[in-house]
Amino acid sequence: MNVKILKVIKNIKHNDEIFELIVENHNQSMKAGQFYGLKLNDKSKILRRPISINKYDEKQISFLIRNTKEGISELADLKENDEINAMGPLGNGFDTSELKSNSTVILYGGGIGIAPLLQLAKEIKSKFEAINIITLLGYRENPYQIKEFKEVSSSVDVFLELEIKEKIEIANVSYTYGEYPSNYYGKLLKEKNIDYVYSCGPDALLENAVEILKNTSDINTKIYVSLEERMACGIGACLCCTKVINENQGICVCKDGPVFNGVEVY
Amino acid sequence: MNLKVNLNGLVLDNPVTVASGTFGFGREYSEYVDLNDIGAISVKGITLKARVGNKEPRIAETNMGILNSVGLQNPGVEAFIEREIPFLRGYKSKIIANVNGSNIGDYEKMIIKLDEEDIDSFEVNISCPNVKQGGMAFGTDPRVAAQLVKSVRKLTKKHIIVKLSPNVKDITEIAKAVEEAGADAISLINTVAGMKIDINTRKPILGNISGGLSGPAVKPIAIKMVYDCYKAVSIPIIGMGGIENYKDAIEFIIAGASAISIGTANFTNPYVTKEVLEGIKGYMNQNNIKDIKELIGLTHRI
Repeated sequence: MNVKILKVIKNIKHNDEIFELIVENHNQSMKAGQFYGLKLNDKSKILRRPISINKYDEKQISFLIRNTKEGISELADLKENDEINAMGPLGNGFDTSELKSNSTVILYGGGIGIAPLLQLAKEIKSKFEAINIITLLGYRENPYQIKEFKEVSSSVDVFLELEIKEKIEIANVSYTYGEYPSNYYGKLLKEKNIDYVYSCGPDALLENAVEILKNTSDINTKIYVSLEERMACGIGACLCCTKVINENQGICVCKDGPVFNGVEVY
Repeated sequence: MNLKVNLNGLVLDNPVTVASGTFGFGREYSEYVDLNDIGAISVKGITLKARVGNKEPRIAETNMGILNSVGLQNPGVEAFIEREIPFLRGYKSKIIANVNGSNIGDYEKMIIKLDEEDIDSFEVNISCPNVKQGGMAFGTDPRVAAQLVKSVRKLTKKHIIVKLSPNVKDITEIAKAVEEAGADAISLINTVAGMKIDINTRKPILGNISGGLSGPAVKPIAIKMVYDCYKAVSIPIIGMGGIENYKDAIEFIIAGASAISIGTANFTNPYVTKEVLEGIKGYMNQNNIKDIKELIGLTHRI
C-alpha cells in the first residue's frame, strides 16, 4: 500500500448518478475486492473516500462511483490530466484460491455494488477460461457496464426495479422488470450446484443472499460478501469501521475485509 | 540541533508523539512509517478486560473534523502485555500505556499489573465516565480527578501523564489538581463532545448517539487550553488537537507544549508523523533555533 498522486486518464459519465473515473496506474498490483482511499480537494472533508477497484491493468485503474453529492461530486468533475491523491490498494480482496476449472460461480451485485465484481469476473476468467460464471445484476432504474460483464460471464441476468424507456438489448442478456434478483438467485442455488457466490451491494441484499443460502438444504455453496462501513484510517488501526457481529466479536471492515465469509457475518 | 525533550523524567528523542486510539499498537502504521522516528507512541486505550466496543456507525465526518465513538475496543491488559509490548519494544519509540477504567479500582488494578512491565509511562485517561458518579467523567471534577491520580500515584514510581478532557468549566483547575496529586505531566486535549443528526432519517448518525470531535476544527480550542495550562502548572504539557502539519505543531509548542501528539491526521496522511518532524527541523533551521527548548512556551516570554 502506498499514497500516490495519480493522473486522471478519463472520466466517463454513465448516467446522472454513475461515473467511471479512470486513473493511471504505476504498475501497482492489486486484487479484485480491494479498494482505494481517495482524498478530496475540499479541505473541510478530511476523510478519504473508500472506493472499490472496478477494473485495472498495469497502466490504469477504474473506479465506478455513485455520485451521492456529499464530497464525491468533486470526483465527478475531474477531467483528463487532473490529479488525484490515492491511498491503496487496501483491504483483503476476494479469495479465489479454491476455484477449480469446473467450478460454478454466481456473481450477485446490487447497484453500485457491482463495481468490484467486474474485476473479480476478469480475474476468474483469466485463470480458468471455461469456468461457469453466472452474473446477476440488480439495478433500480438505469443499468450500466452490462456489456463489460457479458464479456467475462457465461450468462448475465439483469433485474430492474423500474422499467426503463430505452431498452438496450444485448445478445444473451435477460432483462426482468419489477423484481429483485433474489427469487432467481434462490432457484439457482437449489437447482444448479453452485460452488461459490460472490456478492456486493446494499446490506439488505447481502443479508438476504446469506439467509437464502442458509435456508437451502443439501448444498455445499460458499458465499463471500463485500461489506462497506464508514471508515477513517483504512488500515485497521483506528477501529472506526468495526462491525460488532456478536457480544464478543467485531470485524474490521477495512483490514479483515471488506470481503468476508457471509455466514460468519449475518 | 537538539530535539530531545525531557517531560519530567520521560525523555523523548523528539517532540513528535502519536495520540491514543489513532495508531493502534503501532503494527499497522509500522508498514508505512519508521516507528523509530516517533518520539513516543500512546497506544490504543487499554482496559482490564477486552472490550468489543460500540455498535456502528462509530464515526461521522463533520466540517474539518470527525466525530468518533469507538467505545474503547481493545484486547485487554493481558493481551497488551503478552503481545503488544514485545512488538513495540523492538523500536526506539517510548511506550505510553493509555489506561482506562469505570471506577478507581479498575485504574488501580491496571497500574499494579503494568507497573512490572517494560513501558515508559502511563497516560491516565480521565475522560472515562465514572460509574460511581452516574457516568460523569472523572476529569470534570478536580477533586475526583485528584483522588484518582493520588490513588494510582501510590502504586507506581513510573512516569504518569494525565490526559485532560476539554469538556469542563475550567481546565486549569483540573490541571492544578492533578499536578498536586502527583502527575508528572499532562496531555491535552482529549476529544470535544459532539453529535451529528441525519435530517433524512431524523436520527443521530453515531450508533452511540454522541461522540468526540477531533481534527482541525478543534485546534483553536486546544491551543487556548494549552496556553492557559502552561500558565497554571509547572509540569510539562503534551499538546494535541487537530495537528496536520509542522506549523500546527510549532503553534502548540510556542503555546506551551513540550511535546505534541498527532492523531486524526494519520488517517488521511499515514506519513504525517515523518513530515511533521522534518518540518519542525526545517523551521528551526530557518529561524536559527539550536534547541527545541527555546520554542517551548515562547509566546509567554515575548
